[in-house]
Amino acid sequence: MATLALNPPGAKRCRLPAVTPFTPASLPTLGVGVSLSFGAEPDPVALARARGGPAFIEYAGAVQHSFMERPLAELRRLNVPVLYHPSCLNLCGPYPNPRPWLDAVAAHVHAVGSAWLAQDVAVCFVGDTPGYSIQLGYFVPPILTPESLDEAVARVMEVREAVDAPLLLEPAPVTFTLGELDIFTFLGELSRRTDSGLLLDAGHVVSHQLARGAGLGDGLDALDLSRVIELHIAGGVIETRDGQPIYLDAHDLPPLPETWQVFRLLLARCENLKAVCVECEGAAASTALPLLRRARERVLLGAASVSLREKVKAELAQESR
Amino acid sequence: MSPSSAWTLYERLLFDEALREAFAADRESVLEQHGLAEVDRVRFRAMGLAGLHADAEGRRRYLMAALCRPYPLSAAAIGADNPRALSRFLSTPALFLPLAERSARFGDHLSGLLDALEDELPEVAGRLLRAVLSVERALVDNAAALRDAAGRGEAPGPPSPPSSAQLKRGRVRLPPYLLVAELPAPTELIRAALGGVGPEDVFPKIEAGQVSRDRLITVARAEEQPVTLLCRGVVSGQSHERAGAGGLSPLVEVKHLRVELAGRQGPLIQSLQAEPTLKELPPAREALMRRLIEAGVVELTR
Repeated sequence: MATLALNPPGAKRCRLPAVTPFTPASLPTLGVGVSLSFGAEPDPVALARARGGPAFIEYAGAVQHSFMERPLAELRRLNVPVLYHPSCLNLCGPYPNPRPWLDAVAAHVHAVGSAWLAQDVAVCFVGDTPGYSIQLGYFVPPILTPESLDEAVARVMEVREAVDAPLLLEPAPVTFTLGELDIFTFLGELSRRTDSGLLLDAGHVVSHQLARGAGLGDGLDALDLSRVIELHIAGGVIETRDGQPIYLDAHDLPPLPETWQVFRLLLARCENLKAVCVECEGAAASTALPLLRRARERVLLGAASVSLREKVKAELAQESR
Repeated sequence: MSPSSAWTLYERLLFDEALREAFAADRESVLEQHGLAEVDRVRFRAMGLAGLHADAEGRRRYLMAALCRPYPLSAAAIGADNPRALSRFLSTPALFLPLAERSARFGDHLSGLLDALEDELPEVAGRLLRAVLSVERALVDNAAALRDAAGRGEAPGPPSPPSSAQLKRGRVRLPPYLLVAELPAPTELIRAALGGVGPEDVFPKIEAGQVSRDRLITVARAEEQPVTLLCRGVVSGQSHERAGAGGLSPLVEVKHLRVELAGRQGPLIQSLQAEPTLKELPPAREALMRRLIEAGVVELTR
């Protein structure tokens, strides 16, 4: 444990309590996996057994890991690592995360051996009773202002202090934004001030670019891309409302060309990338494997991360054996 | 830390349809009412309305479908010509309560809407609707109690078929988490009158105008066909309510085993307080009990 004192110019002086420093080099390279739900189709265990199946399984789910004991044990037997990606933490906004709730998340991460903890930067519950984002219909994204950034730093540090695993911050998808900052400036500052890693969902990046009328690759330089450990690629849909294009996540659909474009762009620039996750909850099982293969081919062709390329090369070799 | 006035307005705009409409019509008045500092007013003035509506609409549809799911018949009947009245619940603080409490409060919301309909409805229809709502509300409370028990590791799972020894010597009794209620009409008739709504499609059907309260009034005015409903709650597993972006709500899944008996069967249920063996019952009643045991709504002691 080390004590970090990050005092960026312009930020409120804050002395961070003891938290594990974020060191990308210490994290395992997981390859190309999928995000799925236990107890729903496509079945994570069946997919993990398939030729060309995922190298890891990412899942959301209850804070109590005992609810998923059986499939988790099966994946352990198959040597398939799992990543816990909850939707129950407030990583921004005015409502603190109660310590017992954080301790339960920490116990979950520890029990399943999740190499890191990642979640969208959003409000998942309102008030002082913790819950899951779905109870609000969806994540509530942050207001993008300096004041809101200070609040987000406080929320993220609550998690960092309680959970002894690297934390990756993901931009939540949006259909509109409020505030003068763009998400990349907000997230870049948040990750720097809390010494956290990043998870970028290519579709969510598209959502922000559409909401602010920017080009697909605009503004990414505001992020320290060396902090990006994981990328997501997922289906979505672009609707037009009152002449305004709006991106909506739809994991049962194929990824949009715009999403692949952002994905390729990020692959080429994220040198410490350890994992690519194809999100396919609710998709037909038959579409998951071709999507995994396509993601692997993209990684092999254009990833800046040498360790990820090597891992994926091995995954493809195993598939063709 | 209490939320800033900017956060409070942001949050309310996501859930409160009337406020959203007022904001769209006259932003300055809404900003004034919320006492926002000029720096925040500038931010809200720049906010895109199309995106706000898209976000809020997605939330409203998902949340209303989830809220109406445990109240398929009463939500359909009460909200038949006014889905917006149902959605008004989203603008109340009860929306942010824990799930069980929120669901109970939505039942209260339905009850309030039914009170407001009192003058428009024939008395018999009001009585029928009250009965249906109280049954659905009792099922909500039963499910909440079961989920609590599951959290303590004490909830019963689905019953297993009785052994032959139990059939010979076991005493017939009412199991835990059993609800018994009388309704003036069979639930299948009520459901058919309401366009065949079920838990999964009730709100979309209301919104699409596919539910007619007048058809239910016909059922209420027809000759009574009372039924006795026996519903036993059991924990059946873990479910994942799904919405966009892979968001999900892990929930202990509760199933109600149901039997509907023709007529008012209060005395029959009363007679089980004595916990008789099957052999002690008259043949017709023994046959009925065997069917109820098979359906899982009555059990035998070991």
